[in-house]
Amino acid sequence: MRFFFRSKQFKIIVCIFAVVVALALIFGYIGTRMSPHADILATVSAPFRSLATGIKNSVSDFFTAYNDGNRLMLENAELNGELNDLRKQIADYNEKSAQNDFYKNYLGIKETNPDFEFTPATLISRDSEDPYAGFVVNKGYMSGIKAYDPVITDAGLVGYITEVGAITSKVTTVLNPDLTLGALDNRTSDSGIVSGNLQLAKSGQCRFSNLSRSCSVAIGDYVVTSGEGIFPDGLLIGTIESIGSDDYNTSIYADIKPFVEISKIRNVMIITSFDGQGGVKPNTDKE
Amino acid sequence: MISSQKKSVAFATVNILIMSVLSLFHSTNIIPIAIKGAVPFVPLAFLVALCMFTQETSAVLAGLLAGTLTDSFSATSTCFNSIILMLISLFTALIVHYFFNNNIRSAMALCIICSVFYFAVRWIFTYAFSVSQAESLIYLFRYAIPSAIYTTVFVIPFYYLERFIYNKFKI
Repeated sequence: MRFFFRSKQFKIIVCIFAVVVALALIFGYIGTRMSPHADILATVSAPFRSLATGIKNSVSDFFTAYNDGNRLMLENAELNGELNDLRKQIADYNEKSAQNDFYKNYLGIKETNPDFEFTPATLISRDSEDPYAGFVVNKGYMSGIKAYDPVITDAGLVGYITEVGAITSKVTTVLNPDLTLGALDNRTSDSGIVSGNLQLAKSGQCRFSNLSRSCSVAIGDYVVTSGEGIFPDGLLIGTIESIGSDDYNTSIYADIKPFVEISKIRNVMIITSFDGQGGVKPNTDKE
Repeated sequence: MISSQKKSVAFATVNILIMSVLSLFHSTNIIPIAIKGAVPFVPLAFLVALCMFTQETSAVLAGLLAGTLTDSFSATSTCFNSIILMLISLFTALIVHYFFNNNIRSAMALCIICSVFYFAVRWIFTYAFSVSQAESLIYLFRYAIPSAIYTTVFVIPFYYLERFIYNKFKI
């Protein structure tokens, strides 16, 4: 075996390793761009991954429709009954109108944020071993995508772009502890930080922490971005499902269920430009 | 001589195609095979089987291909998979060439060693220091190690497939 380590073959292998390690160090330092060899293969394989994901979604939809057929018929009958009840509740119109105005403030994102510029994108692959449900979309720097661009759907915030290739980009979701963003309880304006957590990620939740003990957040409150960091303000994140106290009773945290069902995302919008863009970048240094 | 080169090229082409298809299936999860959080790294099992029938340099290049394909969609750091899978492929080729016999038992032993190594290193670089100790241990024992063991199951058909391809081309 020692003859192998003196052979020309071994020297070639060492050269290959050296090149790859050098690329890893360079692009690891840059942090936001894919390495060239990964970018080339990602570009070449993107159409095939899109096709495979499209086939998988079609098959999944077919079986869902087939299995849910009976359930939908029963649900339809129930809904007809509920419709009659709703007609009797017409006196609640004012309350529902007020709620509607509340939704318009946040869900009419483009109307209230004319400075936003969007690029639509489709999910083409996921990292199966990532418990935080990170994924890859089919748009890259050739479509004007940059690192740290926020990613949303019509339901709310998904995450942000971490690495950009020519025609693909990687997305880190709100379930990931690497993503920390400033957030507000929209009812009480209590501020805190939203970040992911491995335990909560399994149930598709994240944590709203660093809330003062005198805050008045409640279950059911909506949490929105505060505009600090890389995200514009006013983006819906999720709803508070439970409230607790940290180990030392110094602050309160709330577990949030994101409005976006991250494991079932198919299409997203990437905000490529907005007023005030270019805030403090996330700190991705691991301890 | 030319015929031998053609066989080598054909052997490499077939294996590149298989590796690409497996990576495509793995990244899109088109056939869900995860069991309760244990997700097998199928391209790794194929890589181990392939490296048992190739020379060291070819094995490293195969590891580079597999790692690059995985890096294109993985949430891990840049070039992480390229480096780790190149190390795994070189280790496998050297062990089979100098120490182990080339049989199914060796394939399973090498695959379990390489899978545990891959998931352990991934755990160290990705979770061990970025989440709480309790969470990192949960990930290690509930997801990483079961995934490593589940990955070994797939080396069995891949070993026989690779042996068939190797004998077919009579390299």
